[in-house]
Amino acid sequence: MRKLAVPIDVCGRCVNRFGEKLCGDRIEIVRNEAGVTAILADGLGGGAKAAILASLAVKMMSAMLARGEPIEEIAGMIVRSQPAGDGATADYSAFTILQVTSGGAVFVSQTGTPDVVFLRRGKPVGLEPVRKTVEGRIIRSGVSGAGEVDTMVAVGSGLLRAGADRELREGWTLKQISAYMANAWTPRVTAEKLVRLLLAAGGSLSRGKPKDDFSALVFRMHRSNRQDVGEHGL
Amino acid sequence: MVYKTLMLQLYRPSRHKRDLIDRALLRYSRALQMLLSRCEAPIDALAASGARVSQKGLLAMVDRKTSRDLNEFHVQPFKDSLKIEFAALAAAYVRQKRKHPGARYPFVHLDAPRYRAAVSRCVDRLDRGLISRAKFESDCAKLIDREGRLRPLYFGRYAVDRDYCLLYDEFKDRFYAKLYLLNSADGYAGKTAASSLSLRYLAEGLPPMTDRNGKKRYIVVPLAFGKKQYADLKRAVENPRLLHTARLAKRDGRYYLLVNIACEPGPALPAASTMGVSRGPAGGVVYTVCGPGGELLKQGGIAERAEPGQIVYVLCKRIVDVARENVSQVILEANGGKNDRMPSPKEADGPVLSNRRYAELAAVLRYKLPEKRLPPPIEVSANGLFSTCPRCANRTARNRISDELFACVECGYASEMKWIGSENLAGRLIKYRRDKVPLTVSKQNDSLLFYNKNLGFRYRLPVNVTDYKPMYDELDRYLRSLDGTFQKDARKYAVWKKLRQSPSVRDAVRLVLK
Repeated sequence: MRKLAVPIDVCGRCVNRFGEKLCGDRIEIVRNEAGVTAILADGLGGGAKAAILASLAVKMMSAMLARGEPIEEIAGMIVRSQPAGDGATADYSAFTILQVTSGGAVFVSQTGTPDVVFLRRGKPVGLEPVRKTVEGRIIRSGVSGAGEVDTMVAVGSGLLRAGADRELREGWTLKQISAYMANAWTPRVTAEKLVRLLLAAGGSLSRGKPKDDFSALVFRMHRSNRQDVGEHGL
Repeated sequence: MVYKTLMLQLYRPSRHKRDLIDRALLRYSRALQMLLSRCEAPIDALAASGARVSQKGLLAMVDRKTSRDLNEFHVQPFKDSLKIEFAALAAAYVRQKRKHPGARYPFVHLDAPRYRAAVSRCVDRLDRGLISRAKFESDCAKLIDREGRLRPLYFGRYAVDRDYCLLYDEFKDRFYAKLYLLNSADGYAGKTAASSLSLRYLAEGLPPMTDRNGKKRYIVVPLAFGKKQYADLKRAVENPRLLHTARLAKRDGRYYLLVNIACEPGPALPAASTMGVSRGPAGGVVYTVCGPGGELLKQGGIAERAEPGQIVYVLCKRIVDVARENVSQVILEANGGKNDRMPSPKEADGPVLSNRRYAELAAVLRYKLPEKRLPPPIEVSANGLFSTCPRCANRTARNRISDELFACVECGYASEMKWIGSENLAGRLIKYRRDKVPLTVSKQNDSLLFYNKNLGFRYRLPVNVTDYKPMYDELDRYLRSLDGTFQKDARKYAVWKKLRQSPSVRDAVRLVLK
């Protein structure tokens, strides 16, 4: 396997809804010659159907990635393979696909999930995605270059609902998550710690009883001379 | 000892008694003003010198001649009180003057000639253009307000034959006040109005009051009060030592006796929970009640609307109610919550409690809680209270996501910002109990050196000894050797006390490798 230009630390974890045995969110991380690719699939609703839809999206990504398909194609194929109709009438899986190539390019493709938070040296920056409509659903795609100590954070929509019962005027939105990640960021912070913090914050805000599945995925570029690069799977 | 003031109204005093009281108040005010005027120069000199201020030194300023001159005001019964009040006013003025050089000399009574002279001075300064019209109006308004105002009469002691005392008629279950207002020359002949009553002094053994022959220097007046004051007076019947100094005041044509009474509550109940009370970012105060293990039992905010002078008492009442309901040990921010880094959101529901008001609240709670048989509040450092994580104690400004949201960057604990202060306070005592005393270990010449600088403990473990038991035994001996000795160093005392209270020294320390 070709060595990456920038070492990448990737971590993703999901937390079940309180009292639920099956998780409607799935995260899959694939490392290959092209780079590191991860999918965060968020099955809408909950229970078995959401888990199956999320699982299907993950399987499709793994299979298509093995064939060397670009992630825009994978995203389009996943959308086309899901039941037709908008979110109000049909069950489908929202997802975020993140890929960092061995050349140091970042590709993001997502639909139905909150925007990916991109931290450049700890400061949030916008990715300016391109929108494309497939089967009535909008796929947002973005491309950027990845530098040292850059960090990308993807979360499932369940995490945004963690602060629903709290007395927060601005709520627990992507803006707050972005600010939280910026505050927690240090040059030596690991992806695992950022994921742990996000899920712990969600758990705290829902008073230990999440009303939705929580999922978080973090890509963390390290300095080139670092050797202790790890991968934390599910 | 904690004191509180009972406000007792003199119930319908006769015209004769009203005249006597008015005359006594006027004489007292004029005499006090004379004392202050005469000693202005030496007090100013004392303030400028920076020398230590003592009550003895201030009382010495009232020399024999001044003391004799006081007799012209017929204030012989209040001479001691006058001197004590003069010393208190002078000491307060010297403190103020040293802190704020522009502080004005105290002025207690403005009689008619002085009032006219002061108004003339104001008019003169306005005519000469030295002050603006607004300043002139303000100064005149102050003079008009002060003119003829009488200083409340201070009774420096509680005694049956001088100053003042209370009387009790056990058959009618009524209370009376006996006030010494006259000197022997001004005394009046005749029976007291209370001669038909079976009055007893509120003093040791409840001795009966008897009318003596000769001129009377005192008046006896019935008292009117509410249910709470009645309960306090009944306590005083059982224990008259609770009664202390008093003031006689006239407000809106009515006369009041403000009696200082010691609060002597029963033994405090053992606290079953801790209750942190912090200032609320949206106004009022916020509380969190935690169980013995740190589990959250109750959380809430108290934001009452009341007059500025009453808000402290209204908040205090609610806090005491919650503490009583949960049998809680109340924990407050020290120094009025200075440096607590409380956020101040723009959309606050009510006025935010200032540091001064919070300090007043703490002062009131110090006696209100023991009254309800709860332990007095504990005040802990408020430094960075709103940026410290209640779960892991990580203190950094990065824990604040916004003015309303807190999320710890170390452990991930997240909550509304308003609860953070009280949660930290509620958990502080539990954290103190859980925290162990650090004992540093360093390796020196093949042996281990154990020490704690705060405690002043050092012990070198013999070479090739791997069991730490001799060190713990030595630490135990050292702690016992400090029993009964006065510890001037507060840190040393705190560490010693914590270790001595622990059932096992071994469990109370943690070893820190250097």
